[in-house]
Amino acid sequence: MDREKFLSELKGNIVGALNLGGISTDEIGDDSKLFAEDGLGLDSVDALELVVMLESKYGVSIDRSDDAKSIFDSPNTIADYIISKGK
Amino acid sequence: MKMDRKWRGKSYGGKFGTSCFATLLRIGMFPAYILLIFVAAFFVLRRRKALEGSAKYLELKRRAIFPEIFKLAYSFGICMLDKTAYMSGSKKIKCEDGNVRNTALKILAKNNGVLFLTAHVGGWEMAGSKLTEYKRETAAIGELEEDSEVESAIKPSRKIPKMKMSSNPSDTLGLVEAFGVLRRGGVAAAHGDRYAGGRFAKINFLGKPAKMPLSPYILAAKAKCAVIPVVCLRKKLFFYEVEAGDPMYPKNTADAEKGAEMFAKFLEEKLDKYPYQWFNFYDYWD
Repeated sequence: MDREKFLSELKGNIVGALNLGGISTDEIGDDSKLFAEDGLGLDSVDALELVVMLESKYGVSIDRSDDAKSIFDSPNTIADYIISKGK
Repeated sequence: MKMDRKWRGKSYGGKFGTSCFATLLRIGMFPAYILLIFVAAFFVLRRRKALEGSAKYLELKRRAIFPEIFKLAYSFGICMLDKTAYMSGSKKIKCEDGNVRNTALKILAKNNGVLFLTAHVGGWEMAGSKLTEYKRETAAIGELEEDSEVESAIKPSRKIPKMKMSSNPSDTLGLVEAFGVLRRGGVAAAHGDRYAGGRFAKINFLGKPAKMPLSPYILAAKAKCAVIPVVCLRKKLFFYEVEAGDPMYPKNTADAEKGAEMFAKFLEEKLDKYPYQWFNFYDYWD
């Protein structure tokens, strides 16, 4: 699998799910901190949107906030999680 | 929708307060109630800053004079004492929730989750302890630190539901756990009257716009569950009752603001009848 292409698509899905209209996928680094204030500054509702997006687009689910903390750290960690689920 | 990370409020009645109340209760409920008069008076005289917010609330209800502020402080103390006694296993304090339970059970029977949306009114913590009686997975979005303080101050014989997340505004992933619980047909609880960061809307409350949190309604929309507004009111000596409003079923993010408006109206109606049982001791409209 082409990881760069996968990450690009993932970032596009993140932007779409969160309605981040003012941000292009190029502006989101692979290791950009999604929830840090000096990163994308996402909030708890955005986390829900990401959970729903991962289920609908990739068929993976996240139920525990402890898991979500590590998975949602950056696009890279989300990608790693999806791949680890064989998707 | 707007986002704001500030909450400049303060919660009163933490570990120290609960320990004091636990000590008073060893003397007996009525002696504790009498001693509380002096505690409340001290609070009113020495915690003016805290009561500025309460004064503003009472002003909106045209009652901002010292006796009214004292009544509010004393009422808070009574609820704290009763809560401490209740959580310690006292059979003297009753907390009934029959009507609410019937509504919730009908919804749960269809394998839908229920999010109880409560307020800092009366005996809200006592009502929270009843979540476990539904025998479902439980999650609470609330004052994790405060309940930990209660647990460390007394040895509660009534089970406090395990908090599955923190209310810490910096914990941006706190809703994920509640989402999972609700989707699996469990019950969750959140406060609809305290904005502590995240999404909010300015909703008309008691005649002035106030920030009300939107995340509970968005959570319910995503989890496809019902939201039941509830308050636990002190109806008479040693007796509390949980009253509920009509269940709401937010379908999307746009419904969140409507949900907040409905909750504000529900809370206004209850505070109209029980004005001395709302315990947000900060300027709610700042």
